[in-house]
Amino acid sequence: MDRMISYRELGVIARGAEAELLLADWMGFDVVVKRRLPRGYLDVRLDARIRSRRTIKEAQLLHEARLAGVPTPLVFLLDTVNSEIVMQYIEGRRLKELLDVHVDIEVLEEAGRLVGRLHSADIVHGDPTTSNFILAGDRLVLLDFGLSYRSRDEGDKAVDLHVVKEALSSYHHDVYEEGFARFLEGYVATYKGSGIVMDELRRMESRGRYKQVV
Amino acid sequence: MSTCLGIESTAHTFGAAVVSEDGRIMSDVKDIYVPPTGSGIHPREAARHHVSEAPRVLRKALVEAGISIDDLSCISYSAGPGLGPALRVGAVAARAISSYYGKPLVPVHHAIGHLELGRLLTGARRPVALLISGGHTTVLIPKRRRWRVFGETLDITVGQLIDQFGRHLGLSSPSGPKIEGLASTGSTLLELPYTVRGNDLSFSGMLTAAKRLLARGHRQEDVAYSIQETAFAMLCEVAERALAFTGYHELMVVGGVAANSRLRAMLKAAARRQDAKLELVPPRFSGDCGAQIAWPGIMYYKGGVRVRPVDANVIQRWRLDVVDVPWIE
Repeated sequence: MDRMISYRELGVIARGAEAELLLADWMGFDVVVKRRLPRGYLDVRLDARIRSRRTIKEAQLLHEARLAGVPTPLVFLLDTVNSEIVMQYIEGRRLKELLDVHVDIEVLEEAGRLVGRLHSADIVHGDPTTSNFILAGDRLVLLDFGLSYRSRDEGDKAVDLHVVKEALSSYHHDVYEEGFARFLEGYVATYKGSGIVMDELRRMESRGRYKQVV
Repeated sequence: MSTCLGIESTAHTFGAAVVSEDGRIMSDVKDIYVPPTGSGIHPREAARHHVSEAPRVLRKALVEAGISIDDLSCISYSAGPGLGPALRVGAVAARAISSYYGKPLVPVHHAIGHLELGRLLTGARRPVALLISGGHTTVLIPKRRRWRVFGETLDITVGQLIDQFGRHLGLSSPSGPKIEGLASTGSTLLELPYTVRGNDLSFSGMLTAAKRLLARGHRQEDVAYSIQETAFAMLCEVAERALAFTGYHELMVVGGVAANSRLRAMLKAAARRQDAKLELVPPRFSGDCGAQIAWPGIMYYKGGVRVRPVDANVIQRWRLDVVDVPWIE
């Protein structure tokens, strides 16, 4: 298929579950191309629908999050036919790796602040795992808005907190308790509605949906 | 060689099995309670069934293993989670045998049983595990003495989605195979909510939307096809995410929904896409059975876990990520 965008691929940065990230040169800039790869085992109609919708939504919400004061990569170009977003290259280290190597809990408080600002703007990230925060210099940047959506619902926002909690407790459980407490400190500090969301999280975890049935 | 008699009575199945410490399943006997057509399981009726079948199943498990109770090293029982009345039948039998014959008693978490028997039978060492049944839709990873929940359904399980849709069509439960048959003749992909939140999933909106499509006059076959395609795509996505995040190279699938051949084909391709191998438990052992209780039973026994018969209770609700599994490195 013809490409609407011309850039020169420089290499693969990462390959995730649904997309690959390429480093590329676009008009002399280093950029990242996020390309959603087809999942060949799906019904082709479903696959096309999921990829094109997520690409559009991601580009929109990357921008909206930035307006809400959450550092995100700048979106330069969008190709809905090939499900590609061309965006700013952020150089830094993923929070996941930072927590693996040396434990700098401080940074989780900033992560909480970012999610708090996002929720203040009624944006739910959808996948705020430790892989999706990058520390670039002294600035924490939030990435991957592929599963993001707009919502005022406290339950939806509580799921974001649950994802953070799950990522910390399953993969970084050495720092889990203190780390999640610090995350919540940052969250509470930037989001007025945080109390209700945290109540919702507690309710969600204690009621039916998290019980183990037979 | 140590051996363990394991007793399973969580829900429909009363099962008993003898397993040795080197992982040999010496016997595995079960009898399944079948509710009247069109209705679900009634806990009291299931318990009544277990009471009447227990002596026969237990005796047969010992005879087939060629072992007498005196030669067993320990007795293990499914302590939960599950239906109280059903669970108590297994616990009572286990307590009675344990105290009468002076055998150590070991409680086992039912879902840990599925996962650990899965690892034994597939040889998977460090898999991302997908536990998909009527009772669970959970993605797990074994890490530091626990099965850690990586993601799970936020509302109903995928088994419930399929069964409740089946019941809506007037099919008897469990309706998985019938829905699969319907879906195989469908071809139109109808739009249903595709809801993945990080590693968590939601199916309740899909159930509501599917019923609405039927009411609008869409063919059952096409709705069944769309449910399968959409729900299974969600499961595969979450499995792929967990594989990508952990870098593990095995995807182990346990639970009854894994019997669906369309899902198996999709999971196989999803695993390959993440450079992982799909490991499936043989159908004979993917449902509830005594072996899933006997195998962890003997592992716990060797690790020194015991419970006094007087303290051998059952727990109807019991999250699996709070249970220590000391042999997970």
